[in-house]
Amino acid sequence: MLKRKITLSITLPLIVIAFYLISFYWNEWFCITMPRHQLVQLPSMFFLGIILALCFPKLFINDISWSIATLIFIMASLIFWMLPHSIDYAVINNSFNRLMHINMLLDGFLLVLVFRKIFFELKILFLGMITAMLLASGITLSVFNILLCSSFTIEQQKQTGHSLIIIATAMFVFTAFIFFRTLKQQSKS
Amino acid sequence: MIQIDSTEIKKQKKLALTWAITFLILFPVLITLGLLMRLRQGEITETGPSEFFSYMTLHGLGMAGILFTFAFAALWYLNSTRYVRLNLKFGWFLYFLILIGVVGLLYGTLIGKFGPGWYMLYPLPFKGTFWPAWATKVSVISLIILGVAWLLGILHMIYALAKQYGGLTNLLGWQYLGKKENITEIPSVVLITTISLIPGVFALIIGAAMLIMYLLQSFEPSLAFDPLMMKNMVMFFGHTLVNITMYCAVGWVYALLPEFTHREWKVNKAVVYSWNASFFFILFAYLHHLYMDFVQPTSLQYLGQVVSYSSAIPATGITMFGVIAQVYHAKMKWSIIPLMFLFGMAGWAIGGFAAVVDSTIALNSSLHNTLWVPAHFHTYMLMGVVLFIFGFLFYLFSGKDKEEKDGLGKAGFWIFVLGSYGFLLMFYLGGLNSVPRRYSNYSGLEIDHVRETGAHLAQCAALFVGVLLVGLILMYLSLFCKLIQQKVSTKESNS
Amino acid sequence: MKKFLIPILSLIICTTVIWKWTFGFNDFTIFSYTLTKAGKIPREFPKINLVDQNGKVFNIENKQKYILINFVYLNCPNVCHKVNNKLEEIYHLIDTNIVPSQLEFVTVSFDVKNDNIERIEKYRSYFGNNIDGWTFALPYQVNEKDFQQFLKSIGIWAYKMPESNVINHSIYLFLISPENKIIKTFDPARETNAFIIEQIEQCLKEK
Repeated sequence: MLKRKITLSITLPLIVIAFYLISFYWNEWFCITMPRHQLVQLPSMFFLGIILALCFPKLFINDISWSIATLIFIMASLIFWMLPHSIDYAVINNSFNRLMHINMLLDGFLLVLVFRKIFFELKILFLGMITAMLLASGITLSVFNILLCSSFTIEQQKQTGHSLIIIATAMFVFTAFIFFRTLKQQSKS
Repeated sequence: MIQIDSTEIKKQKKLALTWAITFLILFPVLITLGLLMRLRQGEITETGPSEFFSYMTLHGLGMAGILFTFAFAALWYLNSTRYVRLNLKFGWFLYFLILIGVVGLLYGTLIGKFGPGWYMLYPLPFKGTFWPAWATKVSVISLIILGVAWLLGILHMIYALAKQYGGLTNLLGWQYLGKKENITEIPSVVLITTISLIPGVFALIIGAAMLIMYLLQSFEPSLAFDPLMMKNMVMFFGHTLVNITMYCAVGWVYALLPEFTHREWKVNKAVVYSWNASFFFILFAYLHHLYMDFVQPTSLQYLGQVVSYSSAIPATGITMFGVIAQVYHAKMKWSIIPLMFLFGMAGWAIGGFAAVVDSTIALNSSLHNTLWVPAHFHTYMLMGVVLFIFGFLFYLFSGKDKEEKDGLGKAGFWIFVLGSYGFLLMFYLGGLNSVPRRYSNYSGLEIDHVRETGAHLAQCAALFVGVLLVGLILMYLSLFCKLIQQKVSTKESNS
Repeated sequence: MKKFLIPILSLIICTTVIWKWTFGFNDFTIFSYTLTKAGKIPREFPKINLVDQNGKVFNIENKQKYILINFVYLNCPNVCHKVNNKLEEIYHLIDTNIVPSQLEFVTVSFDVKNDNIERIEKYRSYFGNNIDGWTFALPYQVNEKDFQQFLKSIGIWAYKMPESNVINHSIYLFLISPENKIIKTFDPARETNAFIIEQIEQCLKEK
């Protein structure tokens, strides 16, 4: 118990500091290019949410209806923040940008709570669909010759697309790893 | 071995019967679309191109969809009533989800006239279309819904089996390859279910990415993806799905044929090696559909031929050998069920051979884009998968005596086989005479011989479809009688 | 049934938010969103004074003709020149009986800081000496804030990227009727010359 309290007292302030740095202090720097904004700032917030959830190992969402509803919310949030309109608006409007950060943090946090108890089928479906979505978005951004976000350049748009394809490939491997590992682990259960 | 109580079996059977009835309703509708297409090609009717291509799309997508769905549903039934507990409520959920997808697809194709063919070759659904943009959106979203339902179902079944049989390595039969004596034995159907369905997971994920890209394009018409990449994705998704449909169907032959031959058909090293080899070959066999795409890297073209040959040998060879070993001198009654399984195997072999011919680069350059292509997949679908499915349906609809005489059913079966092979022969002859595929009619062809042959063969094919439908009606009547008998006997035993 | 209700509700709420945000899954970029938000066509073209390459002050309303108007800035590294090249093609393809008697082309620069009459005059000369009916213009005595408001009200989004002179903006062409109403919008990145010309000629016929 004491050990947990010590861990929490160290981790939570670190998360707050990280949030401050990413969302406030370095925000301008992140907003200058599309890869920084979409591939560094956004995922950082998501991972902060994951770390935050890991600090509370006893928290989880057990009810299947709520789990599915939460996954739909996370999926919709990711789609929303991948829309060029949302990205543009986030870059020009600080409050909207912060809303995006909080939403991503919440997504990461909720995802861990759901994944702690969710069925294998839904877990792989979710990861698979995210992979598909990232791959499709990456290919789209990398081939599209019309500027989608007014805040960035077309070169940055293509660069983001290429990086997204790499991330999607990694995600595909990760999904396959989770899939095979879970099936393999059934021998122990 | 798990004990599944009779109430659970009854409930699972109800689900299987619902699947079966849905299949039996949709199947003749889709055949009729095929008939209408052949009638148009034979210049007997005047169906317009927009109708023709929307029929072709629904016929292709619908057949591939219902055959895979039913193959999956049959495996669900067999596994859930014998080897593993599968969540019944989840099964019903999948049924309704798939139904939503099917309704959407029917709406998109029949009302919206969505007509780029099942393969939806990029940029076909978007350039010079004769159907409205909403039809593309509805059809693509329906396919995504179907994909989600299939993926969920596959994952559920594999996971349940892995839990039951102690992990993935056991499911793949690797325990048979070691020297240990006390190993977890697995039924053949479990091994084949696993090997058929796992590639499906990856095909569906790539398929989902492809469909999302189609959806994005439908919202943003000026997008321009690389058509070669899109074709690779479409074929990886579609070909793999069609391929595993056949393997799923073979799975229940491994499980059910021994009930008639009274011989065991156990998993052994040869079966494990051959099916594990197929596991990898399934994923790359699609490459033989891209020989015509000269920009495809040459190495992949060679890989396509090697893999296509390789995929044909292990699973098919071992299974054929297994079937012969099962029936050779077996004291069995040749009731309609084993007969269908045996003819299904023959259809698989013939269609498979035609596929290997088409996958030979030297021959493909002459045969591809001719009717040889529909000939080969119609053979292993109609005379392979469909016969396996009807074999299973007769098994499901029969009472306790699965070997009883069934004159009506058998008559239907022989007429069906005769009609089907006649219909298929017209495709093969068309292919050999260079009649092009995917043409709504041949009137525009400049070579008189090809134009006339194409139309004549289509007329004959339509005739054979008529024969095939007569056989089908007789089989339906037989199935209906069996269902009534089953209901009556259930009522009697209850009272 | 209760079990299905929560996920369905979540799906409905999420879909509605995205639906609203994209005007019914139609506008995914800030460019198209701004255009749709400006209102349905036909709508009034807001009043603004412009000054042409000869220093003459004019406004669109007084022209009493069909006007095809677009917005550019001369320091643009790429897209504005492509749009003007397209416009040049349209200008030469369109029926000579129409331009300039019934239809005029107006290209407005919105870079009020860097562009001036000399620059637009020079820029116009790149398209040839004989381009009657194609005016290049600048906003006249309008402050930057008001001009931004004007752009938004017609459906043009412009954003100046920090630490550079690049202004990312909508490249739509607007067809304005003699009654000073925007009656058509064209997207030169997505629509062909033939389509644009056909649409313009159809509007003129319907007059």
